[in-house]
Amino acid sequence: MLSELLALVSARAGVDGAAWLDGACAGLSAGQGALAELFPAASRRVGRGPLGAASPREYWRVDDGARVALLLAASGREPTVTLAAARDLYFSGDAREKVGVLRALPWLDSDVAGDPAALATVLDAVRVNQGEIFEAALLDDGYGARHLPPHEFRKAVLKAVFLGLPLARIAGLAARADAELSASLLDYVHEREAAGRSVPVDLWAVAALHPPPGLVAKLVGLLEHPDSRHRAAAAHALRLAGDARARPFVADRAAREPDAAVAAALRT
Amino acid sequence: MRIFEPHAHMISRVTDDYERMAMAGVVAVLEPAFWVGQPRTRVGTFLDYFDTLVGWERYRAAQFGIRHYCAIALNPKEANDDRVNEGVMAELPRYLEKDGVLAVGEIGYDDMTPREDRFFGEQLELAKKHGLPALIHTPHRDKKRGVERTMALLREVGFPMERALVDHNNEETVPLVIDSGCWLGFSIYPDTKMDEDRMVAILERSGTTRMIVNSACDWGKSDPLKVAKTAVRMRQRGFAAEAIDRVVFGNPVEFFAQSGRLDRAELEAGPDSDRELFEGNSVLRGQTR
Ligand SMILES: [Zn+2]
Repeated sequence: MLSELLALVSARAGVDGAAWLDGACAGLSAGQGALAELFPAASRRVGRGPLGAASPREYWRVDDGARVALLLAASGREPTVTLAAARDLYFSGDAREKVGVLRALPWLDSDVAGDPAALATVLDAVRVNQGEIFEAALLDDGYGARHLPPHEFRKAVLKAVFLGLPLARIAGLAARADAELSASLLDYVHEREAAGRSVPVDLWAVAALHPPPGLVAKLVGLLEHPDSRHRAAAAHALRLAGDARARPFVADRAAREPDAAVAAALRT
Repeated sequence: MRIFEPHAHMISRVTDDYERMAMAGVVAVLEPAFWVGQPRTRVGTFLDYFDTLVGWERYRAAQFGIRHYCAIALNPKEANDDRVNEGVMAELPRYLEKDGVLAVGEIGYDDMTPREDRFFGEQLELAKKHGLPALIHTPHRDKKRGVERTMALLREVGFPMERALVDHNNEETVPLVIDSGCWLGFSIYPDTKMDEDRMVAILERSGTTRMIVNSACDWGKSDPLKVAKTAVRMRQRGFAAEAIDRVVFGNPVEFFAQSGRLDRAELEAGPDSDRELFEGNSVLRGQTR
């Protein structure tokens, strides 16, 4: 993994930046060099443009790759020590450093239960209001999507909805969603409706996995929404909810639905 | 008009002040580390303060399209406090490697004590080691002697004069600092110290080369719009647009760019523009509907 990252960074960091990172990683692997001084300097050494990594790391930047490489190089010797060091770097880091630590956590900690230092880090990250930090903690292959405890995970998903982030980018969300999350999402819908505001369309598919009372009726109502994106989301969510009571309404709408994609979704 | 505010203690300001500054043309703010009124008794409170300068303040500023940079140091007042001085010094190196830390500062003299001598000198060495310029506070009492002693120390440690910004000048210190080759900072305050009219008179007399104006906007009675107000006064007194731009933008950018960490193109593109372009979504997209 380390060599793969180094290759990606080298391709974009320029000769000086690549040489700096190679030297720093070699030093850290050998137990030399001050991680606390190398880590903050990474952005101006290698740059901050797109790293060009494949999904789910397509949002990584070059300095993210460099910082993960630095931590991986250091962790070759003492994985648990490095997790504690990563936590310290996170808490004393600026936004870019924090993102770098968060991106490294899944690589540093393979423990299913979650390392305490890594958990402390990601718990802080989902509490902050800075978008890029929150996103790195939860979205794509973020450590939080897998390791946050159930209560904190539900709160983080709700916050993602608040922030207007695409829920599809929370890896494994369908597997971790539960009735309590669905109930909270429906409460959020009511709050938005009471305020006369719109509801993000990707919320329905998550809420429908464990439909609370009233959800299916709301989805049936949405089949008549003037915006086809809402109708498509409702059709998809109704299929997931699998509630037989909705069938006549789905069939009725399918017969009248002008949008081909929505009509197809209603018929499956 | 675009303004690089080179000395503002934003931690003492409410978020509305960022908005007012943005409306007055401020595109970047540099916040030097100083004391915070109440003396600190632990190294940890300094670290929380430094973390605020590289973290939360940057985020607050970005909400209004302002880039936030900072200078990090053990300030001259608290250099005298043995509960914290050596502990803070030991933590400085990792902060001086951070992006957005464009100088070591505020360092300098407050009461001109032996401890101030020691930590001022040691931090000039740190600035050399980390490739950073120095932002130097000068005492408000006994200012002229403070400035002379500052010049003497800079020569003694062999600090490059063009990498030193000597701040809080007045009419008496101007010739001394101009001759030294250092940059000259002026803090414009509502009632005390330097005001806009005196500032413009100094610029008329001594020119705009290496001249930098700031509002300080600290915990005292101060005004975060003082740089903008000085620019307006310059225009009223007939300064050309280029001369005004040099004083409120070009000069501070040139000085802090000596850190090698200030990207002019990025500065002109606005905050987090790379993120906007790269990810196509805004940090602050929430609650827009
Ligand atoms: Zn100050």
